[in-house]
Amino acid sequence: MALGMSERGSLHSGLGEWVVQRLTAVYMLLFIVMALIRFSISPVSSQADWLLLSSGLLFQITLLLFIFSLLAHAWLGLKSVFLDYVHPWRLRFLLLTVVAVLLLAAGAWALLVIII
Amino acid sequence: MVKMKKVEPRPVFLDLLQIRLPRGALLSIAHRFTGVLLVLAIPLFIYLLQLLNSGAEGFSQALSLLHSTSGKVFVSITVWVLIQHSLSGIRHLLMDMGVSYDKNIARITANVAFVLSLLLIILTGVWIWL
Repeated sequence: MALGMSERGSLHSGLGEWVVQRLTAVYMLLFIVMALIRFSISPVSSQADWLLLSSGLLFQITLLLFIFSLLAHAWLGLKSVFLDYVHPWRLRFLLLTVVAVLLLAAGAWALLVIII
Repeated sequence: MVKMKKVEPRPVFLDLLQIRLPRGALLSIAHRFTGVLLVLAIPLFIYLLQLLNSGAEGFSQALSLLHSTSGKVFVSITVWVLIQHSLSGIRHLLMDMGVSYDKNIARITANVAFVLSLLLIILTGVWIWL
């Protein structure tokens, strides 16, 4: 099911994915707009500026949410691209598995970078 | 038992130079293409964050990377692709809300997305390079 491989097709998980794809899109747009406003009000030009910003809990949480949204959004987008263009199911399964592992790894990496 | 007649293969017309796609379809393809490209920018983005977070040396390394020519090329391509993807994405969101079900309005919003992203691309290009 998760890889779009179920016998019933992706038909039965479609609505949830549709909602997630759009919610993550809206969140990322809002985050980018807020970040642009923040950077234009007080630009980050020295490491002190960056430390002040990046040590804040609000920034860390919203940035992590942004990255998780990005990864979920990328997963759903790539999945629909593969479902449309890659028809041999073994190859599709392989591609989706590789993408899933890489995106999860990216998520773990981001978590380590931002928290520590 | 009735013998089924063998089904003739349906004619396929796939001459990409002859097919004239509606504006919305072109924008939709652009959305997919830019989406796939943006996935490639994810590791670079996290790497940049790692550099910025790794002390004074890493921070200045990140800044000089961003200000180098190849850094600027990467940043501008990513920003341009992101602008295009965001605007076609906003159009998709508007269509979900029922805007531009009408064929003519759909064409207009597709054109707006194209023109607006071109404008923003020029603006950010000037901002990054001049």
